[in-house]
Amino acid sequence: MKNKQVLKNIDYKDIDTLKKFINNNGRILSRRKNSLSATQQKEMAQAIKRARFMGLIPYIAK
Amino acid sequence: MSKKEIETTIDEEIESIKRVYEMSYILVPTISESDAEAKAEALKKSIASNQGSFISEETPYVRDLAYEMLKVIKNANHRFETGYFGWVKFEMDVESVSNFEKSLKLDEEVIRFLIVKADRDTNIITKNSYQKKARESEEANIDTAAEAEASSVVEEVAATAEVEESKDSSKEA
Repeated sequence: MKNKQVLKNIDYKDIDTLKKFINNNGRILSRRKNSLSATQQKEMAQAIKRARFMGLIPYIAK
Repeated sequence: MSKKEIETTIDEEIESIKRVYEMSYILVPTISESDAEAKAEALKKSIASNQGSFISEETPYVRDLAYEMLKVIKNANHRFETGYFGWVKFEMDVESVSNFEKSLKLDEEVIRFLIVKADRDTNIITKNSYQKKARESEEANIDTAAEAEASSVVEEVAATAEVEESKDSSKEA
């Protein structure tokens, strides 16, 4: 049932991979839906927040 | 070893710590492309003046921002929806990074910047892949839009023809 995603070098400029882990509205999805490990989820969340700050991803999307 | 010798050795070790950083920045869109490249070169020079060495970079390119950004330039609010996005990877002394950040804050052409600790060897996505995808999506949209327009034009012609026929028939009657 669990599909473990193995991600290497999560980067905040790589928005194509980041967009897999956010909602239609731009919210970060939970670890259960992303099937990432704990450290990967933390790194991914921080990358998304950095991308939001630099205007690559919106904070809220409609 | 005496106390003085211990202190001097510790100070020397602290001064020489260098770390690898990566900075991404957004430039004002009102400048031309050649000016944007010149600005990137100027940023590299300011990195060198703060005891840093350059590793890799990407020249800035125009990009739509996900939301409107505000910048106060000369006591006036300016709002931007596009900008030149670029990044630089460099190595610098730990203590001189704050000076570099201060100089960036005072710069009038930089809307936002972000300095992050990084590894030396990891590669990151570049502008070519981003622009390729933008072009492909545009072509796909243009094809579908052209088909939609053609079909709508045909429908309009048929509709007007029907209206005219009905008018003529009503006049005759």
